[in-house]
Amino acid sequence: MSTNISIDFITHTFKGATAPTLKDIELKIEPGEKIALIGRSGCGKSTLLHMLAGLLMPSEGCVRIHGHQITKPSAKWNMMFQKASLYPWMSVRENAELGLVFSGKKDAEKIDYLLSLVGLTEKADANVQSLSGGQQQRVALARSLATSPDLLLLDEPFSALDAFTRSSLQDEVAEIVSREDLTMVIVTHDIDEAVAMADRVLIMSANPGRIVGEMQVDLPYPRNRASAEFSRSREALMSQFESLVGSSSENVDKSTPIEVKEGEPEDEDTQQAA
Amino acid sequence: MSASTSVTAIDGSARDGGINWSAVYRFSLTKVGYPLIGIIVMLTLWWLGGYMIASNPDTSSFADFAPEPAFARLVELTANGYVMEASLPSLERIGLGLLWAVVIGVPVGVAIGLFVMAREISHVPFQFLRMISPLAWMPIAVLAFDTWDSAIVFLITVAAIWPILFSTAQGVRRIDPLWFKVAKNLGADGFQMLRRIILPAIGQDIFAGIRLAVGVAWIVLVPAEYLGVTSGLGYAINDARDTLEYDTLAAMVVVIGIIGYFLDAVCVNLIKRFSWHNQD
Ligand SMILES: Nc1ncnc2c1ncn2[C@@H]1O[C@H](COP(=O)(O)OP(=O)(O)OP(=O)(O)O)[C@@H](O)[C@H]1O
Ligand SMILES: [Mg+2]
Repeated sequence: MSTNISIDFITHTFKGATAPTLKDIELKIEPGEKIALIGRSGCGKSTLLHMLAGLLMPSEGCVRIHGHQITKPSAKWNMMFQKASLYPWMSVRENAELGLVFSGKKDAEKIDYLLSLVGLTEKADANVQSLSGGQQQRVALARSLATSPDLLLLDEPFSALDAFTRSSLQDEVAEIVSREDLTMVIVTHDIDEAVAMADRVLIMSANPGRIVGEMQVDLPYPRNRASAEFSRSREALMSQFESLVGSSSENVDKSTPIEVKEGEPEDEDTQQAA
Repeated sequence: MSASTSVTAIDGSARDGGINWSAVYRFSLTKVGYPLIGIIVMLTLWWLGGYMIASNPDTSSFADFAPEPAFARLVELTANGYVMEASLPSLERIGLGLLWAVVIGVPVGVAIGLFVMAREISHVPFQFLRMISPLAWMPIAVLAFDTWDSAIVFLITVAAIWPILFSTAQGVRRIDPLWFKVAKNLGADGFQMLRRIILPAIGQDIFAGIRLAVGVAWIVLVPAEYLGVTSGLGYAINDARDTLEYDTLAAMVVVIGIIGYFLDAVCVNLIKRFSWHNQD
């Protein structure tokens, strides 16, 4: 029931911008994959995610899900943002139910289930403004899951949370995504988050934004952050990231990057990491 | 109603059956004592003014302006139904004028708030029209409408529409862009976006606009009712002046002030009710 996504040579130049923000991005995502997208601030991660969500049209190329070109947003591919962005005039339950209200398929039992899934059964009738940041983000998760999306897009969803809440939510989401057999793309700044949640990590460079490398993470869920394998994966990802993107922002200059060949070198790195 | 909630909110002990006297004292001071002082100061100034008018031989024929004759007259006019008879037509005109202002102002305000094009196109004409005193429309209103009543309703609409329109537009522009994005992503169509997101988000802004509009409209109403009609508070004032009944005139001024005060209080309540800012 999951989603097969193909991104075909997307190039995007924002209106008024001189240089493209994204250039020639090509990518295939298999059903049920959990992808993390990492890269420096401003390299175009959110832009790419918006395109997957159908919230933004690339100036060239297209995104296809199951072979169909995405031209508009749909509750079947759902995006979660850094801010929970709940509607303060609705209760927790009403927020979670909103997608079903829009589709005219209210389902109280499903909402009950989802609220218990995210541990907010007791708060169902609470004012969302009285919730903590982590609880709000959980409501947003329930809201995203309510419309039974095949694809969950997460744009730094936990970056505003404290470390403990963050890691427990990372595990919860990874677990839910596996259990519900969803496809997931998460954008993050956080190497740990990428290693904790993804089975494939994509590395993006900036100016223009392109995918310059990838790494497989073959660890069972829930992942033990204290384990040696976890540390090894993190080290591998870190060194790959540094070598591809550079530790300083030298790559601001004209883009004649050395890492022209995308496919090959990463695969080697992947093998080493695994 | 708000009395009981703030008393218990200040100190939980009220819930155990004990009464928190210091909270009650503080509450009655700020909510009863201070307003009472304001009212007493106002009445004293009025009384002083009346006293000065009465003691000056040049103006002593206006002595009925003073509070005592005015209140005596007010009681009488309330009892014989004159106050009600004068107020109802005015309230009806205000109500109709506000209704039109909302019906036109809210949709136009939403459009201006949402679309840059609408905003740019309307900017010059609206700022221009807004600056024209509603009373300047009087001759045009009289020409354009068959009845005096509809001319007055038109003048009130013209006065009331701007605060509603601009407050609505401002409310829409303040909506968190992410709220639109999330709703779109959850599958909202245009109508659902309007009904479930935009209107609830700007409810308080609409009523804040209506509150300002009520203030302006209530002020415009009296001079507008000098026009042609033979009913309403404006007519009553004009009539009292013509017949030199200054106590009636003062009594009607008090009526206008009191009704205005209550209309404003209703608006304040509605703003609170439609506000979603941290309710508890
Ligand atoms: N609406 C827009 N109009 C013009 N330029 C934009 C727009 N949105 C983003 N950009 C530019 O595109 C580039 C990529 O932005 P994007 O938000 O995708 O970065 P990001 O990788 O998500 O960064 P961060 O990690 O800080 O969130 C940035 O240089 C940004 O200035
Ligand atoms: Mg971003």
